[in-house]
Amino acid sequence: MDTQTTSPATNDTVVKTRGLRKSFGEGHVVLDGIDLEVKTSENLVLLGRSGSGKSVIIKCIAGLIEPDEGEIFLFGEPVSGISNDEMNKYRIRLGFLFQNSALYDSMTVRENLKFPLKRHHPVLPSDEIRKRIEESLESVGLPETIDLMPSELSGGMCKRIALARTIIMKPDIILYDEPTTGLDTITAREISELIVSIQQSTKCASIIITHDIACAKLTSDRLLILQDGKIGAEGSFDELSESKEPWVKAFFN
Amino acid sequence: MFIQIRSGLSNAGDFIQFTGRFFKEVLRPPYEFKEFIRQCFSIGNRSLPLVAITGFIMGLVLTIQTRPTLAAFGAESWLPGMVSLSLIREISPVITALICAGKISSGIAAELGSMKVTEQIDAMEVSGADPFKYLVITRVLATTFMIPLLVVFADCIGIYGGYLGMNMQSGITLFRYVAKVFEALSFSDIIPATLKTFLFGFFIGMIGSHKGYTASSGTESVGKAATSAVVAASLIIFIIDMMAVQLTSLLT
Repeated sequence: MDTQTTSPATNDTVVKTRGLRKSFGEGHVVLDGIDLEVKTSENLVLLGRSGSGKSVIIKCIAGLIEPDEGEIFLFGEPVSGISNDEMNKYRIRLGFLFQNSALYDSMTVRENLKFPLKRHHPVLPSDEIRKRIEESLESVGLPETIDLMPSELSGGMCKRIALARTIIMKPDIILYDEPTTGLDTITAREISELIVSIQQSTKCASIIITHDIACAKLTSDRLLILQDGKIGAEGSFDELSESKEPWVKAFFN
Repeated sequence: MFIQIRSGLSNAGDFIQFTGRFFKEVLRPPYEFKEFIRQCFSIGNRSLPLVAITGFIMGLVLTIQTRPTLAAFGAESWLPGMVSLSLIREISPVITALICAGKISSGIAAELGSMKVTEQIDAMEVSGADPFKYLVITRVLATTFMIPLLVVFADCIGIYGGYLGMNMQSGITLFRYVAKVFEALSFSDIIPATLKTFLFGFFIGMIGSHKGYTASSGTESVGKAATSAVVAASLIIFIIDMMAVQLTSLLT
């Protein structure tokens, strides 16, 4: 691990990374010194080609992948190298929407939503659990699916339920891993609008990984584009879409 | 050849590490008691019909096949005792364990493998649950406790199958048949045979969980995990059986 000391994040910083490096296999460098910072209520969109390490960044932030080097600060506290039990104290404030929704196949929608609540709040009364499950399903517009199994839902519905499972914990930051991938244009737009509406109602910060430029345009406050394991370009959607750099322009064409 | 040996040793090392993690975490709270009960019900209940049919056929066939030989020596009255001894000491534990290796171990490997591929295990980790405790420990404990029960069930059904097999050619009352069975059996037959089934159950769960939990990404790996779980679990059942027989003969 990098022993270089860096200043922790400021009060309104939700996530900060410094010099994040990660390689896989025999020297295949995916991340080569990533520095990023996300402030409270900010939507940061990460763009990049497939295999450029976008998902690796958010998995490092969520503690699912251990970086080779670098530091990660969550809510101002360093979390690099901490144990899983200690990481759970931060995960309670962090939501993660997986690319394939990752709903538990063997559980109903109700049980899927109840699962994180029971883990993080084991003594929560059953009335409060029921209320929060119903509220979350209402907020994604699918209250009628409560007793269905994931196999009975469409791809778009699975994404919405996964989003409901994420927001049920009332997180301070949500990490979205390609939220619109595999969806038709209309459903993808609905999911993007849902992300914006959740951000506006909960004031939580977001890191959104996407290849969907329409989603990036709708959801982003700020964009980062990854290139060769580094942050190649940074700015607002309008700034980057008018960039003169051919490789940056290629993302918006 | 060298690569195969290296890969085999690496797999064995991984498995030992995985087993070590099981023993390290099994007694550490929180306990997933509800999931353990659910797994016990699922593993036991789902395997019951298959084990019952196999047990019945084992008892019936063994009686029909053995009868002419014993009859040739005028020892037909030993048939209940011989069939029950063969079933309880060897045939029933091994055959039931092999069936469970094919059904349960591969099922666990496929389930956990597909959960890994579809990021459900990662989702569990982000949800604050320890997926190893929730998925692996509950399943391994469930197989460890349910396989012996399934074997005892198969023993009973097999003995009943033997009774029907014997009744096909000569009339014997169920009471007399059971009395002859218990005459032939002693605790030294039942206890070692039952103890080894706990080991069978443990390894059936552990191998299935290990193959599924460590499956690489991609749907192909799910199939590979399930297949290799059956092969490895079947092989380990024979190895444990061989060791248990040697140990029992040394001790008795």
